[in-house]
Amino acid sequence: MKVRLKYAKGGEARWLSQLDVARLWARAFRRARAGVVYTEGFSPHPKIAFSPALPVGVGGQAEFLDAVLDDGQVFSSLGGRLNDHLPRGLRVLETVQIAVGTRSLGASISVADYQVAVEGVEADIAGLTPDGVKAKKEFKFELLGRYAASGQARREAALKVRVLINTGAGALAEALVEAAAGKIRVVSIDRTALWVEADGKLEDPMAFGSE
Amino acid sequence: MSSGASKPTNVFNARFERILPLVRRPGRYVGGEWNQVVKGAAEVSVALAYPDVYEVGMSNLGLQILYEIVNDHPKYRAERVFAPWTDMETQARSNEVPLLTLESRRPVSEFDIFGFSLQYELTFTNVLNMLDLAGIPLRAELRGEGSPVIIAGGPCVFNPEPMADFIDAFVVGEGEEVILELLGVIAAVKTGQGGPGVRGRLIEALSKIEGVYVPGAVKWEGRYPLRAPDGSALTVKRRLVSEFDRVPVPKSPVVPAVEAIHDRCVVEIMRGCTRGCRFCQAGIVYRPARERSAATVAAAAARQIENTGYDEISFSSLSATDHSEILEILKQTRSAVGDFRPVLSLPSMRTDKFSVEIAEQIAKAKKTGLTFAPEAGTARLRQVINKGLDEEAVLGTAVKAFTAGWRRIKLYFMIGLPTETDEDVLAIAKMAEDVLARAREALGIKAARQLKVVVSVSSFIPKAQSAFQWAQALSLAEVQRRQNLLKERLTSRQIDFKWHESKASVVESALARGDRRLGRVIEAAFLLGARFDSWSDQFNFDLWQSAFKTAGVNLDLAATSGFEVEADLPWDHIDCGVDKEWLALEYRRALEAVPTDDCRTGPCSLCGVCGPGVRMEIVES
Repeated sequence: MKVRLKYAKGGEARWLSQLDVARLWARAFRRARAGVVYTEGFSPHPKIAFSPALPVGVGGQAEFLDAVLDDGQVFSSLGGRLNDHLPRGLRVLETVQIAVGTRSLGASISVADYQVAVEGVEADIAGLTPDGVKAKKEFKFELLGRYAASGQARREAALKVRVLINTGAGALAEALVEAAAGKIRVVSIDRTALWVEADGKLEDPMAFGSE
Repeated sequence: MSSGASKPTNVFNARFERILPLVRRPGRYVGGEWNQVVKGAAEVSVALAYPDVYEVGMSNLGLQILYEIVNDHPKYRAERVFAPWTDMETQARSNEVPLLTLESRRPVSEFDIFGFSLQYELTFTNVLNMLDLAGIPLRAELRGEGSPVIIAGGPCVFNPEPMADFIDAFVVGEGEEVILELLGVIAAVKTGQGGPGVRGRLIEALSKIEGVYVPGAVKWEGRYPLRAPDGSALTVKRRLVSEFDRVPVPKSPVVPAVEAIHDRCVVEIMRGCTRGCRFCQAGIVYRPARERSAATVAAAAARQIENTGYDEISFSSLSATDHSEILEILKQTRSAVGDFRPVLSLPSMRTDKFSVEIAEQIAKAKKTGLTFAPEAGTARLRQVINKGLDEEAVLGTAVKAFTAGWRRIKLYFMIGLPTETDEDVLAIAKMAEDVLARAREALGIKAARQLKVVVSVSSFIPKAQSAFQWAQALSLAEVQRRQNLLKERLTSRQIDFKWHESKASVVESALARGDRRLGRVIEAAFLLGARFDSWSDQFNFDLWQSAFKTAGVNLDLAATSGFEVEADLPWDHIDCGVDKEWLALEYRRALEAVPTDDCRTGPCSLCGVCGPGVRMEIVES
């Protein structure tokens, strides 16, 4: 049986690396007795594959993994069982079964959405436009809002940005700071969505489920 | 289960979150791990500390044991804290973030007890740093009503004097029973005798518990033996748990999120040892040998595997293959864990007890390198140290291991052992070469080309409460000369020579058998910036030399001097259970290369540890 899970990485787990997260998942699958299949050979590891890595410090509201499980597993209870055995910062949001030949997450995901919380005294955050950012990246963003924290002159805003998957969170942060001439500080970054490009449209990775 | 509310919104938490992105491996400081226990209000709260970085501290079994015992009790709460790495220390100091625990991010200074596990002398400066970061005065005598009671346990406490200035109460021996007695006493004093002066009353009440040593209650006049307030010779008896098979094994150890040094279940199969190797402190202070039955071990291992999801189980002891049911342990565990199929590992195998059967049991899932510890290169020197292994045992075992599929064998040795000569040192090289030669005979030259022998050599450091506690240690120059002898001799590409940092060993040696004067040295080193001295890239020998000079203690003498057998030792007031006269006898026998039998199989050597309520506990098969 092959399954695709959508999960959230937040709380304390945002401070872990992809390798740490992979280890956490392997143990959670074991605790939940979810029957994950291991590779043969000298150094067996679980057959779990992840969507492109999130760096340390970045949260994810829609992350994905594919796992190969024993056929005897009861699929309907899988998400709940895993959630009972996950540490606080990780949570399963959705589960689907996928066909064995389904294109891997690493190969098929090409676009990512981020929410970037910034702050900057005197910065003209409204002036952050796609033209103001490095031309080689495909950029499309919406400014969600601009508000001042009470009692402080500091201006805060949350920016929603869509980029190609090759643009990592770190590069995105750098590009935004550069576009604002160094007058903003990135407070936090969260990845909010990942997309598979199919027939010119953007699809949710969970849309590739099979019955 | 991962329990507990979200982090409190205190001012420290907000500042703390701002500095997390600025440090390496922020996951070290955030908690939230599987099996973490976050409790609400408790009568007594303990901050349990291992004075090294998270990845090292989380691999310490003693901490796991105490954490679970305290938290299982409805009235008490234990949280964890580890030494912040150097980058986090810099950020914490400049942003005024005090030392916080992992579970609730509360300042350590708000806890009733701040307890340290002292496993290794080179962590002492981290202890001082953690006190300082918590806002607690370093010196016990300067602490006021607001300070937690500072407690320390672990093997270093068998010579507590170097840290005596900084610790309110040392706890000598095994902690499982005494920790609850300690907490009970604190709860009673807090309720019954609270108010101004309570801290003094707490410490006085603790001093009455067996195994607790309060250095501040003893007048230090610059010499030993120490006297109790009534003038009699001070004696602190170490604590020991009996009926070891019934002492609970941790059920749900906290599973580190950031990769720890050892990411696996650990089940202690035996405490203590009967071999009597003369350099070994642990083999003395954990006497007598006490085993857990295979059934107990297997059940405990299976429960841990289910509660953690680990894929490896390590069976911990000083000498695993001496356990009377070792094969049963492996077989029953395999059966109890069912389809989890973890790797089983035995970290401390005696070379002469290694068998193909055991090899097959632990080889089933994965083959890592095997380690053996001949410790000395010649039969003569091995008799001196009472590690009775003959040459054939080492060579034969290595071949068995290679034949069974292992590709890498590590051999541990020490240099600087009493009566050692250059001939003994060079024999180390010969042993490694003989291992390869024997392997070539057994497997053929072509197959043997893939094999690797790792020779790991450290400097012998005499430890308190061992038969060699009176011995001299080598000077730095002499250690380096002997290491070079070996380096020049070991030229084969198939032999890796790894030697331990000898300058750090000099400091370790000075601290291991030091007296109270060392307190000023440790404080000076801390103030000069010494941190993480057990890490080779952090250890700074020049800094320590300065610290010794500032404190007026001669480093060379402190590190190398022996003691006369009739002399008063700085740790004589700590009764480890074994008679000092017997240790002295063992020392004399060592100098004449006379071995002493293993008291499990041979006659009782009258070390003095067994008595009413204390005896060897060997499982009847």
